[in-house]
Amino acid sequence: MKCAKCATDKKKTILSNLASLVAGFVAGLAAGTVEAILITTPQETIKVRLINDAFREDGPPKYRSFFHGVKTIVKEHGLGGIYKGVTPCILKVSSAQAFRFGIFSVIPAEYRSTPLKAAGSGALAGGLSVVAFQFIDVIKSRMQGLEAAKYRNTAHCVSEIWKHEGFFAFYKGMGPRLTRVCAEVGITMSLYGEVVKALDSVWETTTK
Amino acid sequence: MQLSTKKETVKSIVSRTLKESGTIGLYRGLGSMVYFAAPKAATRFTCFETASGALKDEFGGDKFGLGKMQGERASLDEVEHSRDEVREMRYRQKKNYSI
Repeated sequence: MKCAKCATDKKKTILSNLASLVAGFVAGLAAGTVEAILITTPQETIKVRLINDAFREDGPPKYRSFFHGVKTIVKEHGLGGIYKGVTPCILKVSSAQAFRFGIFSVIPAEYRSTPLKAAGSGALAGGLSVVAFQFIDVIKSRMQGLEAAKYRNTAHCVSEIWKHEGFFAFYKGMGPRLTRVCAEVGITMSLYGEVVKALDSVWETTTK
Repeated sequence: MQLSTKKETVKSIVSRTLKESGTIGLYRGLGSMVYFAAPKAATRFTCFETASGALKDEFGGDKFGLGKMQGERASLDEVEHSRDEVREMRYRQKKNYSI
């Protein structure tokens, strides 16, 4: 005899897993897009410009510190100077966040219940997102970097890398990035749960 | 590493950086990471919780949102509870069969 309730329960679990995957994915996509527009685009532009300045070939570096660099760039190029490449940035951040939160949401709650478990689950979600999307990061870095002028647009950049360096060039620097992202997402997810718990105990929230 | 068109390894880059600019060279670009970390995390989680909250209202689910799942024992109790139910059900079934 088949247990009808078991079958419906199983169906329910699968559906609820699918729902949390979709919900995590969509919410991550939204969060990633906002994050890219508000924070990541200026951050990455500033970072790339400061790195380029440190390695400039026509003389010693012009920027003395982070703040001095930002001030000088804004003075010379306006606010647009620290806000470049918003489209690739949105693509990169939203795809990564959607993937991470999607994966993280389907990991059963019991594997996220302690800080250590949450860190492990976060590291897994982060690692998988790196393996899936490293090529977007490489293309973005190439188009922002010192030799950015070499590439006319994204499609041109892809075909140039493919032609001259082959498929594996799209996965350059995956090792270090994998290490960094795993640690980063693991720590963030684990701390986030703890901070939420701590705040909940001292602060009445309406979102419960 | 992503920018280089030459063949370089983690080891060669680390030792070159150490030779050229010392330990401090490994921390190049720390500023842009540190100053943006807090606003970034704030934006990310606020947006995520808002969006997943909206989805939850839309579909009536109760399992979305990280804070809810991670921070509280409630969801864990739920899991335990449903397990107990299954166990009890199996036990009853067995009993029925044996009789």
